[in-house]
Amino acid sequence: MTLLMDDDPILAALAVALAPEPAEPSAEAMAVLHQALDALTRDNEDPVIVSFVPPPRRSTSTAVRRLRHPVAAVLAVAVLATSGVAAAGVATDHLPGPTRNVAYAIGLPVTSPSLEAAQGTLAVLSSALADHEATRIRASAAQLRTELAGLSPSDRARIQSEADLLLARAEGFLALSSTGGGRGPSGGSGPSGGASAGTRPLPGSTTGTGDDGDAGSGHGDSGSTTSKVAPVGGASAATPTTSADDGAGSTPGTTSPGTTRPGDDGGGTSDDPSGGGAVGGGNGAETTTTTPGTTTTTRPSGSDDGSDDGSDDGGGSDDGSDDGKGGRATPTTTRPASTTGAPSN
Amino acid sequence: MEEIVEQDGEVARLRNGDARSWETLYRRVYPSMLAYAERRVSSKEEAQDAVSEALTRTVAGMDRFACSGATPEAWLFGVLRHVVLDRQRGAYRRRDLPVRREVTTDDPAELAEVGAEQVAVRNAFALLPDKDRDLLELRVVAGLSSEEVGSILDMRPGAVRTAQARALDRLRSILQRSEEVRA
Repeated sequence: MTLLMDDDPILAALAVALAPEPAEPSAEAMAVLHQALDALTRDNEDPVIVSFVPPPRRSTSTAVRRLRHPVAAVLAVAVLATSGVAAAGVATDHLPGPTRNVAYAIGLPVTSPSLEAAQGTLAVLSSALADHEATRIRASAAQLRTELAGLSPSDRARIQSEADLLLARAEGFLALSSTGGGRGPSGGSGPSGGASAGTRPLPGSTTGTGDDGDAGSGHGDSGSTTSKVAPVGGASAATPTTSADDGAGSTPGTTSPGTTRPGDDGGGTSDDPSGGGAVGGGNGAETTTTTPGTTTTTRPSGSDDGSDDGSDDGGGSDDGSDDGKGGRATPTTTRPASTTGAPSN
Repeated sequence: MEEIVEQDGEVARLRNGDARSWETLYRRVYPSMLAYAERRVSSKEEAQDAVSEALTRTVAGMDRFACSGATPEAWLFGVLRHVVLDRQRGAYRRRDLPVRREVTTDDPAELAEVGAEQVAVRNAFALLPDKDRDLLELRVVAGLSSEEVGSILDMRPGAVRTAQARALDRLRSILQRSEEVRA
């Protein structure tokens, strides 16, 4: 046993001690081996390629199968089309009425249906005014007032100024058309040399003397305008101011000439050159404007520098551009006998 | 070199599914595989089943075996070891723990037949930890190299040699204690 103290003898003894007994695989074991070999041969002859093909996506195939049903396909197309139209409409804010109602109701950032309708009426009114169609003007103005009343404060604020402007023009046109007959006079516009000429007759013009009869496109205020002359260094500067009346014709005859309220622009500034807001550029030239039924002659009498800011509302008392140097435009207006300062409608 | 060429030729034939080559291999390794399995499972029949299952698995995984570079014997013992471990885990779950089928006889007739020294070595081997027994059996009974045993036990060859030396030290210690007891 002392020989086993070294590795090699103990390994040899271990090999002898653990030596397996002679044994043969049984016939059954051999049969199992041959079956395994046959299976291996079949696998080599018929390689399974399917295992390398990724399995089809169940969700996609299922969805496609569902779409084979006609009703499902139609519904899918309808949903897609509606969604696409709605998305495009929301993005561009061009939506048909029902869709807009739904979109607005669910909180999408689209213009409210009532505001959209009011804006549409505004466009109609503007078009009617451009075409001088009294019937359309009257109808669309009435409709616009109704729609404005139904708007929310925020929506109304968005179109209030434009609506007021167009309504004022409509009022003026309708007033003239009712008194002058037919389509209202046009003209009376353009720069008047050296003086401002009130070119827009508006129902608020209570003086009746300076109304030059322009009813076409002016949208100045209807109140009277006075000039506050402030002598500065020997020269006077005319500061035309207007009354608070915005010219919308809603308060005809309520203004009084000669009154001045600071900060009240009356809306009659030169934002509409075709109307009374003409910028006087000439100096000393006489301008005569003739419109159907109205002739306005502006005859400068001094050294008017033409600094009229165009805020003249057509009131006859306005001198507008007087620079305080003695020059003063004196508009002379010839009006038909039938013309009055008050709107007839 | 001739042995390597011959081995490569055997591997090629095995890979091609040559039945005669497989039968030859099977007959050559069967006794040692059966002895390895018998010492780890509960019965001789189960050991035979384990060896058959190992061979079947090896045939099915022939491609991996061919690419491994291992010898057929090493590959077969590696597969057999996994099969035996699976069966041992199954027996553990079933609370059917296998008994050690070591020859630990004190029968005078058997002692006279195999010799007292062999009996003492078997008894001492039976007392070794499983890891030592596994390693020594693969090295001694299966006749695998340190590299092959390392591939089976997931060890480096140097670690296999170190572990083998420690296992032999423990075996030696057991033998010394047994001799002292007998004395």
